Amino acid sequence: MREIRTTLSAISMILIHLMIFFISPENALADSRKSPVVINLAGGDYGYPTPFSHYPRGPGIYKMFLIFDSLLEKGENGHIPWLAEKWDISGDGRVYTFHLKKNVQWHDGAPMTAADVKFSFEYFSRHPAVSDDLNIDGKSFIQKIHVTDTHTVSIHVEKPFAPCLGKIGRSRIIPKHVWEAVSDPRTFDDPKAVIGCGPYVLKAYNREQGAYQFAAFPGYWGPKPRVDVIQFVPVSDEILAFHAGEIDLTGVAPDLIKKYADNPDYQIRQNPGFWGYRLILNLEKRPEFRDKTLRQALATAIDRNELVQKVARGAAIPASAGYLPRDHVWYNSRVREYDFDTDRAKALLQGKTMSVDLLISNTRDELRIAELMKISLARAGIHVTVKSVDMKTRDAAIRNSDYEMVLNGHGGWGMDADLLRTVYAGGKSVNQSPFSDAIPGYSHPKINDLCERQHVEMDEIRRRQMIFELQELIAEGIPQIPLYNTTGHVVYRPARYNGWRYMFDHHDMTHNKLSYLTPAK
Amino acid sequence: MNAARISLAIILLVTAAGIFSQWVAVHPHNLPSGNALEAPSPNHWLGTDDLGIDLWAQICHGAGVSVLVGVSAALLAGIGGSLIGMLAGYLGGIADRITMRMTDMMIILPDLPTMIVLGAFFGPGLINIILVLALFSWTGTARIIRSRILSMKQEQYIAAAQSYGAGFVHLAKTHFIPGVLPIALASIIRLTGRAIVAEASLSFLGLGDPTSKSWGLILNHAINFKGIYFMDCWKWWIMSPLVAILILVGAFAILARENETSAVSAFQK
Amino acid sequence: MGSYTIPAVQDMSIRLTKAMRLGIVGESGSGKTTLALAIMGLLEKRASVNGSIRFAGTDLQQLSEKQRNPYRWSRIALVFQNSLDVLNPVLTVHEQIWECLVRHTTLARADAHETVVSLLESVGMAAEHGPYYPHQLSGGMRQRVLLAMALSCDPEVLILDEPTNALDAVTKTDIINRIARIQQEKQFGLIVISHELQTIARLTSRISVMYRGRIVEEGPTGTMLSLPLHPYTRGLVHASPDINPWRDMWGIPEESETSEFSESSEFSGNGGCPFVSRCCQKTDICQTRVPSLEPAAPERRVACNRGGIVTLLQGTGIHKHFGVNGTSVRACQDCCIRVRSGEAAVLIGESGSGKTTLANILSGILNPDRGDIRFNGEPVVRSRASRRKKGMQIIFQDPYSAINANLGVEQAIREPLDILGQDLPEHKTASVIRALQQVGLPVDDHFRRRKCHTLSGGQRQRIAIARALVMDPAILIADEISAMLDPSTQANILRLLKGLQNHHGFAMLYITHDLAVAQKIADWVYVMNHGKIVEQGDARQIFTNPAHPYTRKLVGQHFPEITRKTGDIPSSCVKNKPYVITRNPALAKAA
Repeated sequence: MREIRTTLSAISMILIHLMIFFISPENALADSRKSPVVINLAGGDYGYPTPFSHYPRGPGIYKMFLIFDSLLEKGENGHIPWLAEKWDISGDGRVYTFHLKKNVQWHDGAPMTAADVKFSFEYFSRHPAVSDDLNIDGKSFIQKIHVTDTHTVSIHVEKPFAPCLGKIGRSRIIPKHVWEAVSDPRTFDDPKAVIGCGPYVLKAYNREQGAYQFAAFPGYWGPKPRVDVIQFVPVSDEILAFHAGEIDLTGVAPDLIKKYADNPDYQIRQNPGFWGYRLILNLEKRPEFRDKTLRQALATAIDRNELVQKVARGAAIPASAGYLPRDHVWYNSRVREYDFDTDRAKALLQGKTMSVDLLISNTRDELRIAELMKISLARAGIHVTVKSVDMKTRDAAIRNSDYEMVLNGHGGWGMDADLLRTVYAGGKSVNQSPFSDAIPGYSHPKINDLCERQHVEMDEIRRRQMIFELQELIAEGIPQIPLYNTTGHVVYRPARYNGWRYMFDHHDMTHNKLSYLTPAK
Repeated sequence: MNAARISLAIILLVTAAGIFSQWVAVHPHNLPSGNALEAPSPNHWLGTDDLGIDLWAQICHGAGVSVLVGVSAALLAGIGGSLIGMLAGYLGGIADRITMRMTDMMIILPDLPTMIVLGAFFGPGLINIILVLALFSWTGTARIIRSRILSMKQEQYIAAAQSYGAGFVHLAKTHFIPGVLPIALASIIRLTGRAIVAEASLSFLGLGDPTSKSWGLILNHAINFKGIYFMDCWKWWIMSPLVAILILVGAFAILARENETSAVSAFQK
Repeated sequence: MGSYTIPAVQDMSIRLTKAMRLGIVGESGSGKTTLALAIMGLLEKRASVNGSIRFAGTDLQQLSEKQRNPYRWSRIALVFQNSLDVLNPVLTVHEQIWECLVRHTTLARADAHETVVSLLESVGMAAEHGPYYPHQLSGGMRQRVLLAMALSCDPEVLILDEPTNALDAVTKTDIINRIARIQQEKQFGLIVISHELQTIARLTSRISVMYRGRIVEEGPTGTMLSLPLHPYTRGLVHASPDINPWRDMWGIPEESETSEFSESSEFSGNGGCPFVSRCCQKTDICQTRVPSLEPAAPERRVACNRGGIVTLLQGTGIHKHFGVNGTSVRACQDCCIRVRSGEAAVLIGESGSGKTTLANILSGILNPDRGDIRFNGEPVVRSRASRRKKGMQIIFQDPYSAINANLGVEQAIREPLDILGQDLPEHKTASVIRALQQVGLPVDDHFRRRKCHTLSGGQRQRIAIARALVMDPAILIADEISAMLDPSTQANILRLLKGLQNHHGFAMLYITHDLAVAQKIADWVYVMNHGKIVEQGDARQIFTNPAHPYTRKLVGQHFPEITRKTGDIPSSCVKNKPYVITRNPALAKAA
């Protein structure tokens, strides 16, 4: 009896999946005009959305961003004024003066002032946020902050450097009256911890289910929220949930696009390739990887196109060996390409073989990538043992450099090119996001030098030149192997909500705060 | 009896398919041999998966994994459980009480969820799966064997043997093991079926060995393929491992039932 | 014939006081008649007699043949063993007695004729028989004539050699009664030489038991017969139908053929105990040491290196209770039991009386709450007494449970040997074959390989017995072994067991609720009721004259004809010790 029950439970899980498909009605849309606009999105636990306790991945970061505003915001084409109405940069590039909006208030009704801004930056230098932008090589670049009046604040930096405005502008502003008494912000999970001045207020959070509910903040200073409630609900299969009307936007597999393509009820958008997989080599654990030829052989032995076709089902582009993705504003198309060629890889290896452990998380795509890489690497004489663990274990292993070779998929590839410095120049970062994961044991003098120089180069043209050169150097040395950048499709029902927009450097519309707000004229 | 023979034949066939999968299937089970998601054809009898690997080859290879996991977990649990049951029944007293409380606990624990937790804790891998399955399956056998030993202990031939100075080893060798063998065998067969399902469930949930290519893993890949339900490929990609599991587990269930009936009737003679 | 000497009687001392009645018992050839002839001085010249025979202070051995004649017949008379040639065939009965009177007494010739008639009458013959010739007389008549002749001289000592041999029961009883009456009247000393214990029991007050020319035991007749102390005496008692009319008869085992006795060592007198080859409790010392008669109990002497029949198993003060559903059931209360070497003790009780519990405690399977159990003097702790050869073995009631049905016959029987692990495999198989032969089962390979579940209950019980036999037990505890079998099988198993006991000489504690079975085999009986042993005694007494009310009830139910005959319980016994009645002082002391 018992085994039959177990069988049944296993099978019923599958059958339920199937049945939902067959019986799912074309959801009768409720009359959404009169009632408040409620958007449901696929959930998942990404931590309590304070700047200090969210999980350091996109969905966690951007949920927190709904609550907390920053001085600048990312528009579709670049930074736009946000809490700061306008700003001046001193001639030597060392003083940034921000003029704040006047009628900004916190969710608890207190006014937001320059003192809060000063407090925020000072607090972050003492207690780096999860998604930290203010520390370079473990040290805050902000020298001092001067409050001119209630709505004007000047920030003095030690030395001018290129991505400085973006970094200051991205930093969240937190209420002084809440946080000044908090000594350990990581464990501060009081309801007051989620008081921000952003457009949405956290109404409910269920860690076990991975469910969040955000409601529009009536006293919001800025563009009026179009969406009254944003809910992240637990779903087992996004497509089925989307069909059942449980969620309002979903990623959609390339094979299914044609199902929606000619249907006016649906809108399909293709994400820019700012999300991708890369294969990080641990040069500390496996000193063999210090051999550039071996790394090049490795890169040559992997068939990126096959991965794109089979795992991503075509909805991706092979990543650039120079790391900056092809959709990046500063992508250098002249970097060296490693076309798949087993024979050439073998020639590079000169008959050497090696065995290496590959750590992956147990998601379907990574399992499939690993499987295909294992096959093609084996042909070249590199024998891979796949170890699959859950995602958080894998991320922890990366942070501790406890792997030989790890597959990591994450977003953030479209950010400021300074990310090359944190990844390739061994820059110590307190930012916990995976896009800043460095390559253990890799150090190249020329790359290090260029990274430092572009960092402080204020001239846009010259900096761009350096970044291009940097990409070529990186592609040649190939200390890690970027695999592909996904250009996945999303589908939504425009009749239900049509405000979805991309940021200039990010791949996910649901992460964009502006998607939920009334667009500026 | 006929049903038992047919079941046995099925089990042997599946096992043979697993052992000789390289010859039973034309294509390799681990290398792409066609385009992705090919429909069943004379070349690919059950079609291919998303990587273009022949599904028939994977099913055949998976049969070996399933039978290996099932049989070794069941043997481990069956032999271990029998030994524990025998010792508990033989020693009695505190040892017996501790063992029985342990089995009570294990019986109360919902096995699949706990197996999932343990599977996640120990990490994936065939050996771990087998160990976790065995860890969760010995209790039933131990209980049955214990109660049989308790009733055997009432028999005077045990008292007689003890009066000749027989210790546990002799009693086990001469009386206990031959006495409980039919029950142990029946429970091992039953456990095998259970273990196969459990392995499939764990693999299906992504807690199995990601490289084992067991039936559960094929299912796992199929189910996690985005939009599988909206495509034709579910018909061969999901159904073939599912049907394979049903057939093998069904065969084990029938064999266990037949074996038990014959053991019981032999017992009543 | 060679010219070696055979010691017919060795180192023999008897003592007869006035009017004392002494019995000398022994099998044929044990030297009884030789002794009688030696006393009479009638041994032929080639027999040499050493030692002294004193009669009223005179050593007859020192006298010449002539000096001895006055003693012979007139003071010490002998009734020869009955046969035709002891009487003069050409003289009539009357003439024979008359001649005897005339020759050995001072009676006048004429007076003698009247005396003859009165003598004939006193031995139960009419005067009309006087003119008969010996060949015209029946055996009984001749015996009476011989008796009359012996009595004719009015002797002070009368020696009767097999006075009742080959007589019918009525005659025998008549003759015995007459001898007893005459002895009562004339108060002469009486020596009765016989192998018939009934005769001895009726005529004597003391017994000396002879074996191979030696006295092995002597003592008062009553206790000797109810509680023999020498294995040989016990063998004689057991072989006699007269002592216990119900018990199956078994002779004393003959000398084992394998024994390495040569004639010289057998008879030389320094080869050890003369009984050693037939003894069930012999030890090494018995092979080398000749035992002397030593006091063993009040008025009892026994010639045995081990001091008489040894106690093999003794349980003292055994208590056992079981907790059943919160209430305590007392299965055994202060039980005392003992089994002597070679003895068949029977424990009788209804079901639920605690018999099996007691058996399990005695065999070490159960631990008693309190009490002391000793086997051969060593405490019985768990399997200490049973896990060895010449130890203690138990056979259970239920053959279906006692033998693992899945084992083969040989495997089941050799299990104890396997556990013991002392013998070589081929020796084990030989032991198994021997045991199978002993229990009367086939010994072929096919049978030895057969699974026990293919066998009947009777066969399985035989296998259980065989399993006990391979351990060559000194004592066998048989717990209702025939209770679950059909009557015919039951009888066969019982006979088998008793036969084996007789052959091997092991002791047995037989536990049963069946009085008929108990009667058949018991030497000594324990009666158990409600966890207590209420009565014990030798089998004849328990069955003919039960003392305890429970025993009487039990016996009454089974044998109504017996209890009707029995008298009242000796009230003193009941008063002194209400439950345990020990009839035998010797035993009471031993226990």
